[in-house]
Amino acid sequence: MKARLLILMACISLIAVAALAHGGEEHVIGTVARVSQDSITVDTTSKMVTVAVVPETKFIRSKAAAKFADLNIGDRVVIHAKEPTEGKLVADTVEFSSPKPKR
Amino acid sequence: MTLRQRGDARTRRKIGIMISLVMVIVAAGYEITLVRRGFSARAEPSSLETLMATMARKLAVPSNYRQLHNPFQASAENVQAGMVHFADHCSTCHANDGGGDTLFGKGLYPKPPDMRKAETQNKADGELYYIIENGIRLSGMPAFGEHASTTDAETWHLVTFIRHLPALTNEELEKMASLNPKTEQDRQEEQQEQEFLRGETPQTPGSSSHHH
Repeated sequence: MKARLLILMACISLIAVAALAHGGEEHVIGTVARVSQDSITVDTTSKMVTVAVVPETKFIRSKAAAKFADLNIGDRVVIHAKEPTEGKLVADTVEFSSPKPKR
Repeated sequence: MTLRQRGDARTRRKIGIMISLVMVIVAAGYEITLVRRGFSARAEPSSLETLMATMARKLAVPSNYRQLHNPFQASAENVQAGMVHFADHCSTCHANDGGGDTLFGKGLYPKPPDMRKAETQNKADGELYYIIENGIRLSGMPAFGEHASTTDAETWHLVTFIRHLPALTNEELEKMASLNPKTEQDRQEEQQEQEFLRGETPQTPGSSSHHH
């Protein structure tokens, strides 16, 4: 019992204290300016932002699951992206809507 | 005391001093490595720290808890109860899918485990219950239990849900997203994004790329 307690105390003394860090998810909002095989470029009015698309990226249109192929240039888009490496955005979810046809 | 006994005592003292010296040198070397590497929470724990932490956690769970079995069946109702609770209290660090890939989770040291994997799934029901109720010292896992009980239904429902994590469906994930806690600002942003998607608001400079 004594040995067990000693091991436990030794282990605890070697573990570092936990801490919180800050960072964030990027929201990219605008219209689709360009679509490539693995990325979407969004015109956010202030700048062009390119977001990578990966197999895990989820596409949503009108609250229903959609496909990358359904996305067109000119669509309104809200992308929630992660930034695993600095300066490179990877889309988590891509929610989009197509502009209504003019009469 | 005879000459021989005196010699034995001296030898034992020498061995004791040698062991203490080796321990001091090893500890000093470890401290120097730690200081040189810095104390950033972004780093991954070294294999030595992981080993020590895993051993400590194992030893810290009383054996009577390890033998406990979840008294609740894995029925749809119980899974749902655990899911609602998890989405509200746990997902901020552990993520809805239990993978730990969240803003807070990624910043913790040590990082929360991927609970879909064997490391968590192989734990006894009682171990999971104990960890939820009592937390893990020197990690980001707080104690959620108020008393030293073994019968908290909410905690057992969480254990049920943790067992369900490897089989989580996309529909369940979407439902959980709607159950995650949101600030007033989150809700406003979500509303603005939906209005933009419906074409109710023009694209303004506010429609941009920003951190959240």
